[in-house]
Amino acid sequence: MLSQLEAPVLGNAYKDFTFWGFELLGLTNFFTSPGWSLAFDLLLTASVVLALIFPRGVLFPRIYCVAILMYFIVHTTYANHHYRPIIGLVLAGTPFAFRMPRSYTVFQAVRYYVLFIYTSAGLYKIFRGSWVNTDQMTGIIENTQLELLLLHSDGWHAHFFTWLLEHQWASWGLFLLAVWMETVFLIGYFTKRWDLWLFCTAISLHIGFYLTMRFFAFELIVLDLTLLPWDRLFRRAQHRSLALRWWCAKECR
Amino acid sequence: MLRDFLRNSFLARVLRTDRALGFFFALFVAIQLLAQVLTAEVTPFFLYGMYSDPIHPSPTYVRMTCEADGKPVSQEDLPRYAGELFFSTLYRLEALEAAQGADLFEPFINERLGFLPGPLKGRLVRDLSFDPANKPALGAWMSRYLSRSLHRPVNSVVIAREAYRYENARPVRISTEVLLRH
Repeated sequence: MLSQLEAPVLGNAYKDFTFWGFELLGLTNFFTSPGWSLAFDLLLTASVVLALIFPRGVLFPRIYCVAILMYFIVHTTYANHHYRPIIGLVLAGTPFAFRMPRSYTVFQAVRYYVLFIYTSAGLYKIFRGSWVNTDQMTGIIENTQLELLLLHSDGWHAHFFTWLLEHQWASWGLFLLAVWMETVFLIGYFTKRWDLWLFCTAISLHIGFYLTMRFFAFELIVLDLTLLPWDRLFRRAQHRSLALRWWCAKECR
Repeated sequence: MLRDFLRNSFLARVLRTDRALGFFFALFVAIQLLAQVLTAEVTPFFLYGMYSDPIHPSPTYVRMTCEADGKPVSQEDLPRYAGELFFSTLYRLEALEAAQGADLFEPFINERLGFLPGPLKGRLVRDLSFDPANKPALGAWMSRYLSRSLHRPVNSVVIAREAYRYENARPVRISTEVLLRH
């Protein structure tokens, strides 16, 4: 919550022009000042609670989407870390900000955005050449796991990292595997037939990121749910439930 | 074949059935592609290029440490997001100290926005960069933030930079320097 940031003084607008706009207009200071930060937190929380209480309304999800985007910019500025996965919290709200059938179309658009996230992450590594850099993971582990290797040098995770540092071929192999698993999401642009496998690939990537980098982005896992075969699941449930059939006849006109 | 593919694509179908939403999606895709080409980040149009630049092992690595009222505080002692926010701030402070207070904006503005008039560039650099005069306020914020996150009053904070090098896949400390006392 912004009110828990205690009016921070050192932020970083990075090389992001939207962040610059917020900084130059004084919005980051404004939204972290004691009174306004609390008001903002109440608005954001209330929009979620009211969206749950009134699931058919689109006003509260729209307020949530705008507020969470502003939260993302202000919080990330003062977190001094351009943590993009939080965008998952913004996108997760967008299908609820529209009525059927637009809601379903936006849901499908979010699926394409998820494909874009993974595919572009893989293609960047290919085109910028990190995939042929055999000491890529060595550099990443040495830089990001210093704290763990110092404080918990006897734990299984530290032993695993030490083993990866001693066996560079293995750490590079894992990096190549991650690049391949990210790039394979390209197939999702051509067919939905492999979506369930792509979902499993996404979850495997997150588990792999945690094991090899101790990086866990649950915000992106929320978006991965768009890769599940909802059409099939919904149709099957519809056949079984009279109430769902009635609801769909009403909502999906 | 390509024509058929494009005609049956998601974007083309939305443009046929819901023109307004279709145009919105097309605009989003166009801006996203432009951002990729220019490698410019304009939230919510992100570049997902994490770890895509070749990274090589460095001769030394920096670790930031914090002591609150004489007791060491690690990232694990704080809740997840509070720990990440607090220690990222320490690493930002370290980067500023290493560059003798020069922030990252001036070189970036000169490189990417060199066409802007000089006074405007100077104004941007001044407004976006951290003002070293705020360093005492930064120390006071650290006390407040740690008090809230650790659920106990914190009166003094000492921030230090430790340098390490790896020997046989294990880190070895080579120096320590205090950066901030409050």
